[in-house]
Amino acid sequence: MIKIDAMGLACPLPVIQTKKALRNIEENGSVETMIDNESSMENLLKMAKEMGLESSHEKVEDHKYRVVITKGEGGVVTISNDAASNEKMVIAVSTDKMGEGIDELGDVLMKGFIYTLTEMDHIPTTVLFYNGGAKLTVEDAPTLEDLKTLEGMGVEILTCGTCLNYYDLGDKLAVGEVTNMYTIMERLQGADKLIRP
Amino acid sequence: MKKTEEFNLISFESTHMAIKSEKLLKEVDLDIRIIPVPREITSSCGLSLRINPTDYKRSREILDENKIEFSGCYIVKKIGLKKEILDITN
Repeated sequence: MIKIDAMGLACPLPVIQTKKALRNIEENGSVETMIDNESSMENLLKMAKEMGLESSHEKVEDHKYRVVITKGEGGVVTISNDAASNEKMVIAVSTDKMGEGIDELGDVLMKGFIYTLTEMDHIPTTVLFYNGGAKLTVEDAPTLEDLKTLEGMGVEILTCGTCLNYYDLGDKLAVGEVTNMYTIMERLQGADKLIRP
Repeated sequence: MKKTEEFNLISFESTHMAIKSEKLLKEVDLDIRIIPVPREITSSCGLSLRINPTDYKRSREILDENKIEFSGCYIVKKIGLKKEILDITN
């Protein structure tokens, strides 16, 4: 059983973290999530129902609830950051500059783009970084702080390993995970909405 | 649990002025960053400097010394995604 302590976390973080944990279970496993309010509990139960998974719940004490969601054989879980919709929004960042023109301006726009993402109600499921975009997820990148914020909000941050290697940034990745073309292809194909800055 | 943060903001008349200011202040290691102007504030150019409150005074001095014109100064208090903005231009 995977245990998640989501006490003190605001909606939709408990749901996102639980979904992520469920996604990591291949088959036959369960996730126990501790939350501090009833509406989070209801959201978790609703999510389990939508995914066709078994769940149980109990009130442990005041401001402490436990939800256990069980994934049986062949259960399929997709992740989404929006409790209200299952739309998968993917942002593909293929360069460290936004748009075409003068590099100095492109740099500023890209920094602004990533910063603004952290202020949106609607956050993406995944942000992919490849080719020049890989420079945005490494140590000392001006976008690092905001990407860490996004990661904390449950956004999947993936950077192309081939690209980190090419730019000799292999040991400098500072947020999210390294990925390969198969995962990049899966995320792009699975996107309901794809955004390229 | 909503995250609260407070910072100063200076907006500019032009993109070039915003970029130039970023360079000037980074040269002296001030804790600043260039960000899009929040929607709550209107601006002709759309770029502003986000400044750590402890660096605000020094930043203003440097901008004045270099005769950089700005369009507005603000204190921004962010509670979660909500912003309270106080205009301190004058």
